[in-house]
Amino acid sequence: MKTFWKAAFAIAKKDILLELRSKEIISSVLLFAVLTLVIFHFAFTADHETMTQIAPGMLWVAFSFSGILSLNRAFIPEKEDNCMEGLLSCPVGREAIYMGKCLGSFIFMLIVEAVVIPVCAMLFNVDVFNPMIIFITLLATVGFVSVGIIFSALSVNTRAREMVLPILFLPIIVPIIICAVSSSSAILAGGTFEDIKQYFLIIVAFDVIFFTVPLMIFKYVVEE
Amino acid sequence: MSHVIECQKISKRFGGNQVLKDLDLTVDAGESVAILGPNGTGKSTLIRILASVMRQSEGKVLINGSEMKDEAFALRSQIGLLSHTGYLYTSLSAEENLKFYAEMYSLKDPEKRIAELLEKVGLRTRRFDRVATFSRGMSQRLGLARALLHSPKILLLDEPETGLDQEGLDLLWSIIKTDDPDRTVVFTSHNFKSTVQACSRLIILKKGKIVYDAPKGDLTEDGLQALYHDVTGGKS
Amino acid sequence: MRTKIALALGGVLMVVALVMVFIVVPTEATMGNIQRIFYFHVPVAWNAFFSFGVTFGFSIAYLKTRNPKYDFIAESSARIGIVFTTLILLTGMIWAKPIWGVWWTWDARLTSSFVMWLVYIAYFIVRSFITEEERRYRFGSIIGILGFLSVPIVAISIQLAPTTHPKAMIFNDGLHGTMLATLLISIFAMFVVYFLFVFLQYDNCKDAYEIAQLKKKLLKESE
Repeated sequence: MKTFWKAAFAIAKKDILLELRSKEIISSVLLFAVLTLVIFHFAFTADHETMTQIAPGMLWVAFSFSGILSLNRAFIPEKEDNCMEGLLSCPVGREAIYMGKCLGSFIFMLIVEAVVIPVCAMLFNVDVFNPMIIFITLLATVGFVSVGIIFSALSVNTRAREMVLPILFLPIIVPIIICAVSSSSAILAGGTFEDIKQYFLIIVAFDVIFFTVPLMIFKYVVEE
Repeated sequence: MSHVIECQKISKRFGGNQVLKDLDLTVDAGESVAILGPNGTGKSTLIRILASVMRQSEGKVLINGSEMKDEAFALRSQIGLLSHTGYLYTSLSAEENLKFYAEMYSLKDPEKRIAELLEKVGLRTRRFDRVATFSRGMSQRLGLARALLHSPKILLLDEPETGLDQEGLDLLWSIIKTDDPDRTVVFTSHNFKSTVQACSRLIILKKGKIVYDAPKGDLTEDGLQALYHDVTGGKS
Repeated sequence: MRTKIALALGGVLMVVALVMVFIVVPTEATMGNIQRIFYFHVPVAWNAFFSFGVTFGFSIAYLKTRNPKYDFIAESSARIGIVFTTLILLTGMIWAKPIWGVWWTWDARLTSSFVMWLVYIAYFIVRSFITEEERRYRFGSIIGILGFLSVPIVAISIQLAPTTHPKAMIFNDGLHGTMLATLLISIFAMFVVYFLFVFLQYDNCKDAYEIAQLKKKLLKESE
């Protein structure tokens, strides 16, 4: 158990260090996410009330698309110089590798969200910078990343990998998007935790299922 | 006393493509085994199965008497692997790469071992430089340092000469021999000269089967070349 | 042999089902004749879920055993599942137009069937992107497992929204006598048809695989 976490943290730390070196992905993904919001402004110029209604949707479109951009790159460092094989030859379980990659991408998504949520709140004058919404967003990001990582590991070994990830990933995370958007809207409309309890439970169920099962089958993705 | 490596009837298929067929192989402590053979004959596959980064379709692999399938976790820490690539992150420095792998191997005193290895492979002065700026020979040497980091009892090398000149390759082998002369080494190669220098036993694979297996004896480079062409039917 | 049995049984059952649907069963009071599509729509829906369930099971079996035959079954079943899901959507739309006045609404059942359809379309597209056989089977199995797990959770999450889709009436007292009998016969007929298609598709996969093997062998020998 100790080696599991040690290896997972080492991988996450290494991924963050790699990203800090180049800063390529984080800067372009952030720019892309903000651009999505700008495009939304031009696509739906509307009054404040309508904006409040569609704001959570805008957020999750921005998260999904920028998430795909970054998830698509998640396994590129392991592909270069065939590092995945080097990782596999280490005395750690494949579960630890999956966990480490998830942690790295989770932190990455948190940074994106930490920028996009306040920017959205500011640009559209809607109160999405709200503790309940942030809590739901964090919870939804867990399932979002854990599905994304296994498909990212899979797509990096196929032709046309840039295409493979979104077509697998988007339909599967439909429940996450529905629940995160609906519960955020309910909160913006003045709802309490009781109103969003059902959505909350589905997100938790999704997180549990789509973390445990990929954790179990990740070895079949990376090991021939 | 059990063998260091023991393969029992190993087969590997990719879809319908049979790469290895019922391969039996035992390697004893301190041996340096060269595996030669034409391309696509299963050399790399065999190395990968021994390193447990690939699973055999059938058969058993035992390392020091324990079955790989059951104890892959513990057994992997006794094995070092170097392939045509060094498994290095090119945006990280030499030292950062080694530090990362030291954490993956849960090394006790990583600083000391890393410093020692960097010295051995002649990269001490370049330790803060990114691997991307390294020459082919330097990154292959760093890859070797990575493979030797946890002082494995068994070293597996898959065509380590790729992209190296004879001088670079000789340097690589001298490092391997000085780090621990008693280490068990299994390597694949296309280079007759360094094979003759490095191995104590010679295996030739053809179409997934062992067609020649004998101690090197006093074989010379020319002798090996003649033998190889004789056994494989002229193709290299 | 099994194909012939399935063909004969399926043929007979289909004819019986058609006679029941168009001649025997009474016309439903409020919806009229269009309701008869229900005897097609429901069996197809049940069998679509069943097909993807089979894909799920054999995907696990493949990963455990690495026997290509299990992947052939998983793939064949998913292929039929897609045909069935397409039919769910089409028959649903044909029914919806006169009853709801629109071809499509983003209703819970419609949306979840549609998402399911998208998941398995992706399953086939991604498989076609992978040239190496062993990897195609392996990745296919992973998508077959994760895709199937997503089906119920999509359905539940969408169901939180109010639905206009008719409730399943089979197990409460909504459906009686000849209507229930007709439905059950239709379901069974469709079930046999499912097996017929899977058998055919499986033989197809196996033949294609064997031909590819022979080709490889010939190429190797001619080298």
